[in-house]
Amino acid sequence: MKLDGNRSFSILALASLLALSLFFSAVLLSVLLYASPREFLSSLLSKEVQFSIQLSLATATIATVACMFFAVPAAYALSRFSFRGKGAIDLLLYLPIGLPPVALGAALLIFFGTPVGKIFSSKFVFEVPGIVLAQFAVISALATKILKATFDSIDEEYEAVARTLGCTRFQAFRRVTLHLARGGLLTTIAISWVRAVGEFGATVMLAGATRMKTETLPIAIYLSLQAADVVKMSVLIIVLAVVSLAALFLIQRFGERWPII
Amino acid sequence: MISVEDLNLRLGNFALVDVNLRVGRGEHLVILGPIGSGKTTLLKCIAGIYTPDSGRIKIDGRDISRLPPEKRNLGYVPQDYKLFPHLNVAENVAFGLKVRGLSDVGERVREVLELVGLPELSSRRVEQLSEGQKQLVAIARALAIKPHVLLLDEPFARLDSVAKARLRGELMRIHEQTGTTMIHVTHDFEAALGLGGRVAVMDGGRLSQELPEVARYLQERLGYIPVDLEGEV
Ligand SMILES: Nc1ncnc2c1ncn2[C@@H]1O[C@H](COP(=O)(O)OP(=O)(O)OP(=O)(O)O)[C@@H](O)[C@H]1O
Ligand SMILES: [Mg+2]
Repeated sequence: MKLDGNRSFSILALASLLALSLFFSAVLLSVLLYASPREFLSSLLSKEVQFSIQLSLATATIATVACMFFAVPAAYALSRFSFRGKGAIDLLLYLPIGLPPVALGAALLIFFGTPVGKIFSSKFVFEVPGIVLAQFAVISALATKILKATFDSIDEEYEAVARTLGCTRFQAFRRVTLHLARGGLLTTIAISWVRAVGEFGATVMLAGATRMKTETLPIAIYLSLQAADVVKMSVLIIVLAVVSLAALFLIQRFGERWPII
Repeated sequence: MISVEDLNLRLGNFALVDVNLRVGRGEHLVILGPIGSGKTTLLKCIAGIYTPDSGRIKIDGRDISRLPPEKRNLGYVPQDYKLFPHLNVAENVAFGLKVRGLSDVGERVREVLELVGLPELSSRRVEQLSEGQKQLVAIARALAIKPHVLLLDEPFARLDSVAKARLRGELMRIHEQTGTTMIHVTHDFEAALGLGGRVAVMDGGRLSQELPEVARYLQERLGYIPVDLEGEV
C-alpha cells in the first residue's frame, strides 16, 4: 500500500484508533461480563472489598497530599534557582521514575534494614504507613518533574513585576505563580493520586500483602488471584477503573473552578 | 531625585559599563538606544530584579542598591506588560495596594483608572483588552502604589501608529497630572522625541546624558537633530 495520498493516511490513522478501541473494549467487556449482577454486587459489598476501597482511597490521598507538600517547593527551587549540584539532583530524581516500583520497594526494604532505617522500621515495614511511604516514593519524583516543567513555562517576569509591586518572593509565588500554575498543579494532583491508588510493586515489597491489613485494591487483586476468586478480581478491576477515571474526569471538569489557597 | 552611579553588570557576553544617570524629581527622562543596547537590563537593575556587580542606585540620596525589589517602591512596566491573567483590570491595579494591606483600595483603584482614562474597564478580563489598553492598565498598576519613579520599558513597542499617538498624549497628561518621575527606555526614536522629556542615549551598554553627545548620536542615527534639542545644543 502506498501512503502518498491524504485519504489512505487518514484511513490508516482511523483504523489504528479503531483497533486500539476494540482491543480495550474487548478486555473491559470480558471483565464486566464475568460475574452475574448478583455475584458482582455481593462481592462489591463484601467487607474485604469495602476495606480495600477505603484503605486505597485513604492512603492515596495522604500520599498525594504529602507528595504535593514537598513537590511544589522542590519543583519551584529546581525551576527558579541555580546552584551547584542541581544537575545531580535532577538526575537523582529520574531514578524513582525510571526504576520499576518493585525495585524501589525492595530498596526501601533494604533501607529499613540499615542502622538508621531500623529506628523507624517497625512503623513502616509490613504496616499501613508503609503503603503511604511506598506510594509517596513512587509519585513524588514524578510530581516534582511535572511541576518543574509547569513552573519553567511560567515567565519569571510575572514574579518580577509582583515583587516591584511589594511582594516578597513567597508572596509573589502564592499570589501569582501558583495561580498561573493551576492547570499543571491539578494535572499533577490527578496523575499522582491515580498512580498512588494503582501502586502495587513498591507496596507489596514494603507493606506486604496482608489480608484486611495492608490490602489496598491492587493488593486485593493479587490476593484474589492467589485464592482463585475471579469474581472478586473482576469487581476489584472495575472499582479501580471507575475510581481512576472518575478522579481524572473530576479534576479536568471541575478543577478550573477550585479556589487556590 | 534618582541617581545611578558607576553601575556595572555583566550578563554573559553583554555588559552595562560604568552607567551614570541623574533624573530630577518630576522629570521625564527618555533613554534612546538600539535593540540589544542594554535598556531593559538597566531598568531591571534599577527595579532590583537584577543585582549589579558594582555601583550604586540612590533615591533622594538614599542608597537602595541592596534593597530587594519589594522595598524599593518603584513602578516597573515591562515591555510586554505582564498583566496578571488570573485577575481582572481592577484587581491588577489593586495588586500592589492589597499586598501592602491598605484599606481604601477600591477608592485608589478608581482614581488611578480615571487617571489613565479607563474607568469603564475595571471589571474587564485582561485578555479582552487592546494592546493600548493593556499598556495603560500596566501603567495604572504601577502608578497605584505611588512609586518614587515609574520605569517604562518600550511602551510604544506593540502599538500601531494611532495607538502610539494616543499613548504619547496620555503619558504627557499623566506626567503633568501626577508629577511622577519617569524613566522611559525605547528604540523608537520617532515616538520618543517630542515627549517633552530630557533625552539620554544608550549604546553597547554605555549611557550618555551629555547634550552634545546625545545630539551627535541623534544626528548620526536620524540624520537631523530633533527640534526639541536644537535650542539646547
Ligand atoms: N540574562 C541574560 N544573560 C545573558 N545575556 C543577556 C541576558 N539578558 C540580556 N542579555 C543580553 O544583553 C543585551 C542587552 O539586553 P537588553 O534586553 O537589556 O537590551 P534592550 O536594549 O532592552 O533591547 P530591546 O530594544 O530589544 O528591548 C542583549 O544582547 C541580550 O541578549
Ligand atoms: Mg528591552
